[in-house]
Amino acid sequence: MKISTGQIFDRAVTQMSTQQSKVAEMQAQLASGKQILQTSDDPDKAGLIQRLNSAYARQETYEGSLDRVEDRLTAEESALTGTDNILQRIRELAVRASSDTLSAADREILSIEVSTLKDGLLALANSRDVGGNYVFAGSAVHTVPFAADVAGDISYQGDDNYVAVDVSEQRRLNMNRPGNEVFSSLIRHESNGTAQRVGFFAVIEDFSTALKNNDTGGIHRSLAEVDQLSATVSVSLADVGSRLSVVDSQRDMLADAKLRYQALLSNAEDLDYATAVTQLSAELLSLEAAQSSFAKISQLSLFNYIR
Amino acid sequence: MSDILSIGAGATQLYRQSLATVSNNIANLNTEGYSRQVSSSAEGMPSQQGTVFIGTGARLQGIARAYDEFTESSLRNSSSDLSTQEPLIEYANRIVDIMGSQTSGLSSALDQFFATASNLSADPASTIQRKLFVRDADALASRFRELAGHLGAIEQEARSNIELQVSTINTLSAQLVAINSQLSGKISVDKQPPGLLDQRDQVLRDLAQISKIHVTESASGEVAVRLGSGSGSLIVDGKESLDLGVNFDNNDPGRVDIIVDPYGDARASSSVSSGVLGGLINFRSQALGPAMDNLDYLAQTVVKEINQIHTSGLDARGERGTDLFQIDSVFEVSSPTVDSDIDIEIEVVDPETFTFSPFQIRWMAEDNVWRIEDGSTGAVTFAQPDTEGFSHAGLQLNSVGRLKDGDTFYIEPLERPAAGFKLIQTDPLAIAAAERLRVTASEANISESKVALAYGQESQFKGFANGIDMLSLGNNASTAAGVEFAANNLEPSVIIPSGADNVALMMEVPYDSNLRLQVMNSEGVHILGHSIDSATQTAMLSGDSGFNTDSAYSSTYLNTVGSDAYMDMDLTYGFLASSVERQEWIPNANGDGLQEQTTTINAQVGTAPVRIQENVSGSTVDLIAADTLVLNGHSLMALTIADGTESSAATMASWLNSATASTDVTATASNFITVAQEDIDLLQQVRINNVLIGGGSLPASIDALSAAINAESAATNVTSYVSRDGGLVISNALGHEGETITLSNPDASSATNALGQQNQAYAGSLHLDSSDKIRFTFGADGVPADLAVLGLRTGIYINGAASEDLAVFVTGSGNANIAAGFSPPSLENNIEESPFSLDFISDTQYSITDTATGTVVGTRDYIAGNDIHYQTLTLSFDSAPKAGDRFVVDGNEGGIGDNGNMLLLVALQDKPVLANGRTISDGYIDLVSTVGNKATLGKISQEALQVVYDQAVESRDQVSGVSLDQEAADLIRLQQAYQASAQIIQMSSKIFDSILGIR
Repeated sequence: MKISTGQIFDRAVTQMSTQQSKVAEMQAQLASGKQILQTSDDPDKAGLIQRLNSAYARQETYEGSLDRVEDRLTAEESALTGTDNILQRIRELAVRASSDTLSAADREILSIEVSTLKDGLLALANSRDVGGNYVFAGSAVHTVPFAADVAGDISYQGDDNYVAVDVSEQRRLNMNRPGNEVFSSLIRHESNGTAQRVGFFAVIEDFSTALKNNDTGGIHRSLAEVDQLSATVSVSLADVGSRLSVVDSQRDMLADAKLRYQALLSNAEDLDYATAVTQLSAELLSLEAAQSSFAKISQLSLFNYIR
Repeated sequence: MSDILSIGAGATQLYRQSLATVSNNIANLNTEGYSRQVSSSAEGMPSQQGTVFIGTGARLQGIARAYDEFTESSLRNSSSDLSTQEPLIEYANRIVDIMGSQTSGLSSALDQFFATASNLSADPASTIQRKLFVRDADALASRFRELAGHLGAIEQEARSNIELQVSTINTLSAQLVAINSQLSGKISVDKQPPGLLDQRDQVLRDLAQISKIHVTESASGEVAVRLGSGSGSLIVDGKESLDLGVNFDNNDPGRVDIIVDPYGDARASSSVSSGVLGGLINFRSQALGPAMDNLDYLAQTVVKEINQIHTSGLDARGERGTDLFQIDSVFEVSSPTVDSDIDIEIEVVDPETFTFSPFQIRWMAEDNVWRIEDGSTGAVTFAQPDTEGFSHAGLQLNSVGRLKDGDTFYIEPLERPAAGFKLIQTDPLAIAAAERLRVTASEANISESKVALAYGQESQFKGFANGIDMLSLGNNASTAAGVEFAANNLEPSVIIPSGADNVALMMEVPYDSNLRLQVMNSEGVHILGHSIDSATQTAMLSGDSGFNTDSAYSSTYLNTVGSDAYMDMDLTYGFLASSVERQEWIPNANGDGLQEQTTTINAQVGTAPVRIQENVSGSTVDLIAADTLVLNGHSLMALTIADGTESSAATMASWLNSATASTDVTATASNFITVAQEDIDLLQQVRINNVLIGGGSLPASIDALSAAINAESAATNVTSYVSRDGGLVISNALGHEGETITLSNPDASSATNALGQQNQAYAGSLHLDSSDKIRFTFGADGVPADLAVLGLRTGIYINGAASEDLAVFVTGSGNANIAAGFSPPSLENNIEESPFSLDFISDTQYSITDTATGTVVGTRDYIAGNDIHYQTLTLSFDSAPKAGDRFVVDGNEGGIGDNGNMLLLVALQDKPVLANGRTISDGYIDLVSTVGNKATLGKISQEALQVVYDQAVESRDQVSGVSLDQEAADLIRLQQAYQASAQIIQMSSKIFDSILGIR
């Protein structure tokens, strides 16, 4: 078989340049530490990496949401703890006031304290979080949740909405509790058998009035009612506490998920240096072999021998 | 002796030429397309000397190319196949690298957008988060535009490349024609100069690289070339070639048309399948086209889905969200005449009238106008620009720069949604994060029941199962267009669909029928009709027909009007005709123009013939009882017939006119019997109102018949005249308008008479007129048959849009003709729940009240623990509500801190909104990997085809290639032969000398 001179050269050049580009690619992989330099190197794997990146980024977003929920819940918790303390104090006053030994004047003094405590409760009910949003206004966070009307009656101005936040692919966590469920009204059964709803602050106000009027019947009723209010606040407090613990456990789960995605990502995109370096040496070796063999072969020519 | 010398001389010449050939081979070692040449020698013709033949040496027979037609053609084909893959791989990889990159791809922008949305959902009241959301929404929009721009640039490049390849084909074809004409001088290919043939083969090889070709060689070596296979388009034939052209479709990047002879007998060629050109076409149709189309589909889906969610929520100001994104049209402006810097600015101002039709504009400096030529219809219009430019087909165009007369621009609108992806809502406070509705438990509720609201549920009421859609009756309220319905107490007959406007559903009934219309909503609220007993109620409100079986029948809104009406709708059951206003243009007072004038046309109606009822009872009877019919709110007294008389249009008119003061309706009676010319039978007789016309003699003509009728007018109270079409019109004489006319024939055996009419009494009809309206409704005992007495049909009229699907029952017995007129519901289907409240009447029953109108739209049974579905909403209770509890569903205006809508937006990233159940991100990654796989596939083919090509090159080289070693050997061989030949000459010289030397 005849091989033309031109072909000998062409073939050698093609082989060497192929080898050159392999070496260059290996070099670029080693320099960047990535298996895939451009999407076109392996579109399917690049797709997988994109998916993993998205999933990883999403875990970080959930972490951000958890931070926000925790801020909010902490604000709720501190307001509720304060409320609980004040209600305890009011209860103590109610117990003391129900004692027959107290005079009308004593009770009137207690009534002043109850009024002050009521203002404290109102301030707590209108607490705001770090963003300046009212904590107990449902979703109407820019509306003062408990405000007095012209008659001085305090009523709930917020709405009944719960605001839930995604804290993982599957889990959605409520970050608030509408004020009318925390500072909730209760049903008062009158002696004539009728029942009516009485607001949280109206109960305290009624207690204060009963003290002022030295109305022992009213004081006894208030004692029972304050107990009810206290119970509701305790339930809310427990609820916030349990949600805070969910936040903690969710945080752990997110950390796990992040670690898992990181491992998968590393698997998919990072270069195995040991293999890569070995492969580079092999490629270099064959490049050198191609070069030196070409140098030798190109020397051969019959003309060298014709003298 | 001379023969020795000539042999020697011939041989030296032969070997000198052979050596020249070898030298030429060596010299052309690196010449592309060169085929090794071989000189061949032939034995000289022997000369006969006596009985022997003596050789005369050798001569050069010829110099031939070392050439094999088959290796050459297989080289051409494999080169076509191989070069097909290159552009596909190169361009597809560029697309993949741009779209798949972390920084310039769409995935990262989508992730960022949804992450910001998620952050905003965690803190919806925060202005900072809202600003970040706007920023990232803008980034998403611009990422779409950038990607579209990158793809557009690649598209442009591929387009230029295709144009270049096509023009290269044309150049090569022209070269082949030139070569062919040179070759045509000789008959045989053997006689052709080898260099010329090499040149021909090189051109063919170049051509094959661009597109696969089929070559036919003639005896002289001239070639004919077809694209593709033997049946492809002929582009070179002998001394003629056909040019190729190429057409692109701007709105379909995957489409490329190769046109043969574009300026002559243009026809499309489909035979370019391989070669660089084939590869480029494949790239456009397999990678670029799908990539651009998919990106556009993605852009459209993203805009549609996000806008749909965004517009269903409420923003921080408590207003309904508007569209977040928009897709602008993109225009391609090109100009063949203008090279200066003139910009044409185009904006879509009226999307309704904007068609995606290309057009051409030319500046006519003399008249200061633009000449606009529509590209598809060719219609020419002119537009004079003002400072804002000019408008055309919903577009506003303006030019920036100095225009010259005749400057022409081609403007082509492109349907490229991804390139026009734009954020239009940039106000952070206008981002709709909150849900549009909320539910609030009333403060005074006795129960502790908490309620939750869920959206987007499929509505519990899925439309009525029985009854035909009113829209299918055809929009024509005349009796002739009506459809026959059998009365049915069990199923609705006709359904008035929600949104149908200006409905008039008309029913014609016989005088003595008990047919009635009843209108119900799906909750069993009886809206129009007649009161029904509870057995009928139960029968009508069947769950099988689609009625809510938990709902109780209610007659609260039966036939109520005004603010008491159901949903405050303007409804009429009975008969309604209204006055209309008409706008007219009349000459103004100055007589130099027109002015608008509004004319009110009175409400008018002409009835069908009224009922004739004879009273032979001996006492006065009521044809229509008192308070049966109500006209314009006035209850009409009884229509009586005195003993021995009968009712007629005339008596009814005077009965109606007696109430004109209260009703504002005037009635006139008339009776016209129109007789067609062909019906008249002059051989029969006729009696009118028992008077024999013509006294028994037969009239000679229609005119005579008319005269005969008029002659008896005093006795019959009937006159007649000949109508313009030659027939007769019989009517009441003056002072007897509306009276019944009885026709009969003295010949009792004939059913008809001279007038060709049935022998019977003909009732008159009424014409009612009112400046405002004519509105008949029914009193307590009124039925459609009562209106039929007056010759009127009974109808259901809804002025304004129907609030919901309404079921129309035809009750009673017998058949009714029903026809409908309406404005169909508008197609825009906006999900807009109206606010409502739930009131628990008892622990087991609640009512639903529409807040806007205060209408109780339904009263339903409640089973503790069950959810309540209304409209598309679901309300669920954590504990059973108690009697007196109230729950209000209304707009969530104050809910700045609510994130319900934003959560829906965040959920979009996992929602399978694309075809085949893919999410947006999945769709994009699929798109990238589809294009990538095309490139990978191309790469694999390329490797395989490279082997084939290498083999073809090798086989060709084996035949035609130059090997220096071979040439060196030849050189030595020929040199030696040359030296030997020289020796022959020398020897012959010596011989000659020897002879000369003989002394």
